[in-house]
Amino acid sequence: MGGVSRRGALKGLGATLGLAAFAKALAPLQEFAADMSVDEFLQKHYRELTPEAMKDVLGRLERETHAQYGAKVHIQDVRPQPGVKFGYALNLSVCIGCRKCQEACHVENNHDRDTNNSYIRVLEMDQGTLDLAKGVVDYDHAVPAPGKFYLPIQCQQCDNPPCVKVCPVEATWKEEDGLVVVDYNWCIGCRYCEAACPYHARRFNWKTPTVPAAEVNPHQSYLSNRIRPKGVMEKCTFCLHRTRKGRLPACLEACPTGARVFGNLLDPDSEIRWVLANKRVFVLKEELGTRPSFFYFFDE
Amino acid sequence: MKTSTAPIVIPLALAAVALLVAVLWPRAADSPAAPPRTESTKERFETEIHLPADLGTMATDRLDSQGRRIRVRCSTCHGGDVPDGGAVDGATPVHQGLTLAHGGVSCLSCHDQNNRDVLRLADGTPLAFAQVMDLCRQCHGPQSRDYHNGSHGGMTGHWDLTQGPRLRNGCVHCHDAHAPAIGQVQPVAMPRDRGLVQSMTHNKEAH
Repeated sequence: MGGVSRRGALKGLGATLGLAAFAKALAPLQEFAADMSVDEFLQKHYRELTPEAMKDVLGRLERETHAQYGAKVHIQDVRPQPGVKFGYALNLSVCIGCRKCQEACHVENNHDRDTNNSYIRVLEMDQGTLDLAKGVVDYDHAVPAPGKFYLPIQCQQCDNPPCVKVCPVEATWKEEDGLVVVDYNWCIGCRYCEAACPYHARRFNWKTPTVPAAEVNPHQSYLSNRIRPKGVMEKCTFCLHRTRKGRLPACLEACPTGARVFGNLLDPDSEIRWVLANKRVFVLKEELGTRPSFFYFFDE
Repeated sequence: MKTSTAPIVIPLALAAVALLVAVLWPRAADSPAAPPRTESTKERFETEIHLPADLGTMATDRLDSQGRRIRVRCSTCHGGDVPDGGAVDGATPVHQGLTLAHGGVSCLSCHDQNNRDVLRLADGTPLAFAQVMDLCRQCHGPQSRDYHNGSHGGMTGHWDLTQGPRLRNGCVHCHDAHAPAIGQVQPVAMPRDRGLVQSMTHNKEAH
């Protein structure tokens, strides 16, 4: 018999459809190839990387930054120092709302130039109020304006961080020195953490950041200011690439008034501990139980 | 009834004990006897206080070959004989741009009448210009206290002085000694994310 049997034809049809469906199901993998290398796709979670694997990852990221941005950068994996837990305090009596901290963050952390993004948002508030929803961020007049005070807000590095709890893939966690960090290569961009944060401290990379090669800050760290890919969350890390080496954060150095106090909460002789002991400090949204490591105070 | 309540009482008592342990245990664990102090034996770097280089001099109306105002020491003109008349104003050729708006003080509250190249404390003790912060703190105690505890005045460098030095602004780096109030400035770095701005300011627009 030379003809194709009905059974054979149906078998052939079924096999063809099955193969087509399988190919269609795998199709998204082809898109990965466009903007993600196999090494990146197979990279483990930050906390599972061996030192050798981390070295490879950092080398790859440096090469990718050079290819994409034309900038030679040095990316390190800066780890917490033993016996250090970071605390930050801000004197609202002294802050004049000049936004120099916001600008310094923008430059230090290689933020997208198009959106002028920053981890700091300075709210202009009516004196005597503390309703954050009524704060104005786009004020454009000489400061300090009469009757106003200025409330810079960035990540509060909570000891009970809601953003960490909601992450479905554990791409964000709290380190030993109190800093809440993100593995940008593990984050899936679901933005749950952005929704969970009561301080609006997290940012989403809606687009690939644009930073001119000459303006890229080459001193980078894996968990902080390396240029983030599109589609992931990012946040203030108290400039851990600086502070874990003993340096002050960029926003503090930029502050012309000295409103910002930074230091080690575990050192009883530190300036941050003096502020906590001698000033009437408060935290934002204390009632939520987030236990921030960021404190605010007014002079008496 | 007595026989039937006993089995309930025992689990209740156990639950109460468990609750007590749960409440008390974390407090016991959270209070270590002393925080680690590994840094105390290390050498500490300097904290340098930044003051203007031209302290103790006054701009004149004469320009040098590069067009800069020539600055002279106060004693160039002032001997011990110039009275403290409060006549200083910006129109005087040698006191270009000088206005005195510093509470109710007069020149000789801070300047030494007998030697204009030094300052004087309230008790008459002469004081070098480089020690000007000791002069300021006679009246501005709270600011001086906050400054020396790191919560007033800008700084750069290291929070951890065992790892590096720090540079701090002195009082007169930011405050003009003759008119110390700091005026308004124009803010920088407006965020350009329109969605963010609208969401954060809708209350303002609703008014």
